Amino acid sequence: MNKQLYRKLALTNLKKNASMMLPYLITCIIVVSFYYIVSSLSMNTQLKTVSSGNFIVDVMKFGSLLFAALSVLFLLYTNSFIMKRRKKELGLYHILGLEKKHIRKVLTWESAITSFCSIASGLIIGVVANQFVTAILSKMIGTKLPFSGAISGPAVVKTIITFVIIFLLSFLYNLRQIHVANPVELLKGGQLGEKEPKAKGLLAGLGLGLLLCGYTLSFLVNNPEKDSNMMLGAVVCVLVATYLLFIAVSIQVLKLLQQNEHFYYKSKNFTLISGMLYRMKQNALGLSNICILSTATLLIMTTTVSLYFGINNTVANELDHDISINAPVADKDKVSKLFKSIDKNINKHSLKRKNVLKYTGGKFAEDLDADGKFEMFFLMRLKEYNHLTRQNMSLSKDEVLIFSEDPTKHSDTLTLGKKKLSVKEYLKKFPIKNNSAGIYGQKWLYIVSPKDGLLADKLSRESNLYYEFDLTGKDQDKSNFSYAISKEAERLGIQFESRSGYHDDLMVRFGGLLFLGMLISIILFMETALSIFYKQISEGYDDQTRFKILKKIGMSQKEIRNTIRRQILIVFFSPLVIALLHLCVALPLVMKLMKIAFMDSWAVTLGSSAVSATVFILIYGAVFLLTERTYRKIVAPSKQ
Amino acid sequence: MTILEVKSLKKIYKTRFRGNQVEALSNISFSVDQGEFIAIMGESGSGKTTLLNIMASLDSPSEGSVLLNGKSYADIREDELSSFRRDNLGFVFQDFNLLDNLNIKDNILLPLVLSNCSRKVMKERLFPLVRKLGIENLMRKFPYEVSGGQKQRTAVARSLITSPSLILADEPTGALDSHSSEELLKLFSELNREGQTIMMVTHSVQAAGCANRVLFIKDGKIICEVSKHSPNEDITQKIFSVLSAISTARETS
Ligand SMILES: Nc1ncnc2c1ncn2[C@@H]1O[C@H](COP(=O)(O)OP(=O)(O)O)[C@@H](O)[C@H]1O
Ligand SMILES: [Mg+2]
Repeated sequence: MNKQLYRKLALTNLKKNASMMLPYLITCIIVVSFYYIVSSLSMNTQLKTVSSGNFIVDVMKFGSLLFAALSVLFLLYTNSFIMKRRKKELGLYHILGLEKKHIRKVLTWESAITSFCSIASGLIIGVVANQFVTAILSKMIGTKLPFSGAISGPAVVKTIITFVIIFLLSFLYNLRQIHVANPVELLKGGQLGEKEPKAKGLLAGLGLGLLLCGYTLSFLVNNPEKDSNMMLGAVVCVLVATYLLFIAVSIQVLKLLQQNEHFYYKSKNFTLISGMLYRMKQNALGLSNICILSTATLLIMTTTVSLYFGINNTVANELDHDISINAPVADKDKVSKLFKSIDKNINKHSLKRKNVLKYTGGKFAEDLDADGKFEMFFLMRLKEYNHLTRQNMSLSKDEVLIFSEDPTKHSDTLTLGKKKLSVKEYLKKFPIKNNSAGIYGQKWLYIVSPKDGLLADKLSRESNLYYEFDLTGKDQDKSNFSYAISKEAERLGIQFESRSGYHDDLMVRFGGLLFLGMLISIILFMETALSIFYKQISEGYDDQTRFKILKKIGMSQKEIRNTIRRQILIVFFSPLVIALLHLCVALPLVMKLMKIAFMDSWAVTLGSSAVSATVFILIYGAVFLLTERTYRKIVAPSKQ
Repeated sequence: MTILEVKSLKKIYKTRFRGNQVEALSNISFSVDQGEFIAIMGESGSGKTTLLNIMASLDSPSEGSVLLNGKSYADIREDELSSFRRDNLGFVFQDFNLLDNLNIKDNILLPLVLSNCSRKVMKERLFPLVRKLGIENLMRKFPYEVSGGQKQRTAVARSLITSPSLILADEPTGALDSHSSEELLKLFSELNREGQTIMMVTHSVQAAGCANRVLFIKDGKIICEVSKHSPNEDITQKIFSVLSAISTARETS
C-alpha cells in the first residue's frame, strides 16, 4: 500500500461523508476565523492608544481564551458524533482486509486534509473579514480606530498553533476509538439494543425542588455584590436542576402519560411517547447541555445589549450634571483659569449653562454613631445650604441638619470623638448629590453645620470647591466643549467629569463588550445548533428501521411525517422553552446586576432580552427546519 | 370464494447504473380463495419478496393489478392505502419487525392503536389471542428479552389482531430454530383450519408441505403449482421432485 492510495481513500471518504462532515467543517472554519479576529484585536498595540482601548484589549484576551475552550469542547463533541456514525464504515474496511495500522493511516490523511482546509479557509476568511469587523467595531464603540484590520502575523501564528493542537486532540481521540474497538463492534456501530429507561421519581422530585430553590434564591438576592454566595447557589441549583429536569423529570412525565391508557393508546400519541421515552435516555444529557448553552447565550446577549443601549441611563445615574468640576479651595488660581476657559468655550460652542450649582464642602469618613464603623459624609456650611435652597435656617453651635441617603438610618444625636451633636432636623431632600459610589455603594450622609459649629474646623482644614452645571445646545457642541475643557482641566490638574466624555468612554467599553458578546453568542449558537443537528441526524439513522416497520404495519406517510415533526419539535424546543423560562426568571437578577454598572432601566433590560430572545428563536427555528428536512430524508424518504 | 386476485403483474426495477432494468416479475396471475393456505417457493432472487410486497400494497406494480375482495389497489388513494392495509392484511416477516421500544403487548396492539380503536375493543381482542398463542406471560417484556420463536408469535399476534382477510408471511421460519419453526407451522395450520387465509413465502419444503397449494416461481414467473387434493395429503415428495426438476433445468440450460 503506498501513500497515494491512503490519500485517495481519505479523499473519497470525505466526499462520501460530505453531508455529515460539511456542517462540522463550516463550524470549524467560522470558529477559526473568529478566533483569529479576536486574537488580532487582543494583540493590536495600536488599540491601546484609543481611550479605554486597554479595556477592549482585556476583553478580547478573555474572548480568545473562551473561544479556545469552547472550541475544544465542541469540536471534540461533534467529532465524537461523526466518529460514532463512521464506525461501521471503518469496520467494513477492517473486514476488507485493512489492518488497524492502515485504517490509522487513512484517518491521519483525513484529519490532515480537514484540519488544513479548516485552518487555511478560516484564516483567509478571518483576514478578509477583519476589515469589515474592524469597521463594525469602530462603529459600535463610536470611535475611529487607528488601524484598518490589516493582516496580523502574530495572530495568524497563534491561531494556527491553537487549532493544530485542538485538531490533534480530536485526531488522537479517533485513533483511540479505532484502537479499543474490535471489528465486530465497529461493524455494529451505534446500533446496540438499549433498555427502556427506568422511572426516576426521586430524582425528578429533587430536580423540581432544586429548580424552585434556585429560582427562589435568585429572587432573594438583593445586592449582587454582597449576596454573591446566594447568587452562586442559585446558579448551581438551576444548573443541576436543568440536568435533572431532562434526565428524570422528562422520563417521569412520559411514564405518567404512558400510564394514562386513554391518552397513550391513541394513534397520534402512541408512537410519539414510546419513541421519546426510548430516546430520552441518550437525549437527556445532550438536551440539558443544549438548554444550558442556550440560556448562557441568551443571558450574554441580554446583558451586553442592555449595557450598550443603557449607556445614557448609566451616565445619568452616575453623573448628576453634564459637567462636574471639583478642586481644593486652596487652588483658587487654577480654578479661576479654568472658569475663564469655560466662559470662553461656552460662547465659542454657542452653548448655554443651566442648573448651575456652585458650593464648597468636604467629604469625610468618621465614626458618627459610635458603632466602630466609619460613616461617609459630606459636610457643608449652613450659609451655603441657605444660599442653595434660598432659605434662612439657623443652627446653634452643636446643632446640625442631616440628609441621609439611607432612610433607615436615624438618630437624634451624633458623636464625633468627645463632641456630641444634636440633629435639629432630618431633611427630606438635599440640593446636591455628589456620591458616586453607585447604586449598591456606601450610603452617604449630607451634614449641614453652622460656621462656628463643632464640625466647622474640619472644613477650614480641608474643603473643596464644587462647580456643576448642565448644558443646553447641540450634542456635538456639548461633546466638543467637554473635550476642550477636559484637556484644559487635565493640564491644570483639576478633577473634571463630563457626561459626554463619560458617555464616549462607556461606548468604547460597552461597545467592546457587545462586540465580544455578539461573537460569543454566534459561536455558542452555532455550536448549539450543530450539536442538536448532529444529535437528530444520528438519531435519524437509528430511527430508520423503526419507521420502516411502522410503514409496513400500516402507518401512512402523512402520519409518519406528523410523528417525526412533533418528535423533533419537542426535542428541539424543550431546551429552548426551558432556557426562555430561565431567562425570564433570571431577569430580576440581571437587572440587579446591571445596577452595579449604574444601569437601572427596566425598559432597556426588558427590551434587550425581548430582542435577544426573538433573534434567538428565529435562528433556532431556521435550524429546526433544516434539521427536520434532513432527518425526514433519512427516516422517511418520499417515493421516487 | 375468491378474496385476492392477481392479474398479469409485471414489475420492472430501474437500477441507477446505466439505466439497467431488472424484470423482477413478468406476467404473474393467480387467485387466492377464502380459507386457502398458499406457499410460494423459488430460488433467492426469483421475485418472491417483490410479489409479496405488491400484494401487500407496499410496492406498486409496473403493470397489472391486484384486487382484494374485489377492490383494486390502484383505486385506493395513497393516504387511504395504509389504513386499508392495516385493516385487511396481516404481515409476518423473517426478521420479525417488532419495535424495540414497545413491549410485547404494545407491539401486538400497534395496528389497533394506529386505527384509533377503543380500549374496550383492544382488550377484547388481545387476551383471547395471546392465550391462544401462548404468550400471555410475556406482555410486559420487551422484544430483546424474549426468544426468536416468541418474537415470531408476537408478530403473528400482531398480524391477527385486526382479523385481516389475508395473512402474508415472508419466510417466517427463516430466522427460527427447527423447534420454533415447527411450532409456528403448527400454529399456521391451526389458524388455517379455523378459516384464516394465509400466503407464505418459504424455502423450506417442510414448511411448504403444510400449505394446501404451493406455487413455484422462477425468474419472475409462476412455472408450476402443486395442490393437496385432501387436507391430510402429504405433498412433500411432490414438492421435492418439482424443486429438483427446476434445478436440473437450470444446470442443463
Ligand atoms: N428495490 C429494488 N431495486 C432494484 N432491483 C430489485 C429491488 N428489489 C429487488 N430487486 C431485484 O428483483 C429481483 C427479485 O428480488 P426479490 O423479490 O427480493 O427476490 P426473492 O425474494 O425471491 O429472493 C432480484 O433480481 C433483485 O435483485
Ligand atoms: Mg426475499
